[in-house]
Amino acid sequence: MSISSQSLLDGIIPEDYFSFDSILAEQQKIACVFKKSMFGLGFLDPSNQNENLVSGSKMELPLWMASYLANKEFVACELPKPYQETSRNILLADSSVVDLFKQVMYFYETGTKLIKIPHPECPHVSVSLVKTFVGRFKKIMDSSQNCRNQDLGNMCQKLDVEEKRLFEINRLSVELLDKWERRESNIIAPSNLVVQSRKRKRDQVF
Amino acid sequence: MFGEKAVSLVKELHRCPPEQLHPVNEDLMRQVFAEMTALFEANKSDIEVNDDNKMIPSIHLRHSALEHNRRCVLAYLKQRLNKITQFRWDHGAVLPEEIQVNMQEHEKQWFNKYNKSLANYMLSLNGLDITQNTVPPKSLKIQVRCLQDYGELETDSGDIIMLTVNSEHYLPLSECEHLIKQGVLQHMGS
Repeated sequence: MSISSQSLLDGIIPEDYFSFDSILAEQQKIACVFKKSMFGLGFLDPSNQNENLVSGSKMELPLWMASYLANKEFVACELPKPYQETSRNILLADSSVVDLFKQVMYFYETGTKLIKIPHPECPHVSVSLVKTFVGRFKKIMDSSQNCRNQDLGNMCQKLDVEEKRLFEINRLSVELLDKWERRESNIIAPSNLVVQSRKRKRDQVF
Repeated sequence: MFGEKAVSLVKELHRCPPEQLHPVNEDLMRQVFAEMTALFEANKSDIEVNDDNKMIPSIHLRHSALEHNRRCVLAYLKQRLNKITQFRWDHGAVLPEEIQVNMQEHEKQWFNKYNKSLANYMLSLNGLDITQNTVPPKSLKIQVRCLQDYGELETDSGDIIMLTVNSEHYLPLSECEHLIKQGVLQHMGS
């Protein structure tokens, strides 16, 4: 059971404000060019000898900072490689073979935040995100529901965090349905947390 | 880069398995606060000496870092509270010792308040225990086996039952469900 704080804070802060996934997705590094000089912040770029970050200099900023500064028009951003046209074409050709996890761990989450940055290619990126998801969705559903006796490690590795979660939910629902068919669903089980913490205790004893 | 310590705080809790609660990383938290104070002071002095608008981009950059740090720390604390809430539903009103030692004083206070408001709410429903009957019951009494030496259990009817390892009992569901959840008893399928 999770308690939603959304209703209380609706409109004041974004709903994913407390979300760890969202925070981690915003760690993606974005190559930026400064349009304005940043005085007294030269130390942020180790390769820079100057005391200031002069306008026109390049630097990689995390997404949370890049999107804030880009919206204020202090920097211009470049798209990260997995979202550029070449990669988008690969995804369009066959999205199911691409290793999203290796490219960007939170491919969709980062992507949806990325398209809010003013950039001429943003509409293409958003279309590509949807197409990629649709293209991969069927395979995820299929393999998580029908291949329980096969080793799916290879395939799972290529899924981004959100897709992995989807896979897990699917697998679990099949398992629950199975339990129900075997009439085991009305047996009260000890709570998951208790089981896990007991396992750990036993580990410590030996 | 600014904000890296705050993110490592988040990452640390993100890696922590759901059934555990690590102690608050106060050292790292203090470092984040120190960074935030430094950012704030730098912005303040920049605003005071500012004669034209040349400092504005730098101030904005530091401000975004400040906001990001605040978000990470708040998310960290919130996630801990979410975990503690989950513990209340799984372990009952009294948490195991190994979880309690890692809770901060404020979190203990919060937990007590949460307990109280949950109890008040259940009282307003004529004493219905909403943490029970999470599975629709098939019968009033169920067969259970005891997995550990628990001690005496006094039932609502006044009988005292000795719960010892491997003993089997036929008990009313309402009285043993929380013991099953805690892993003291095992529900034997009919």
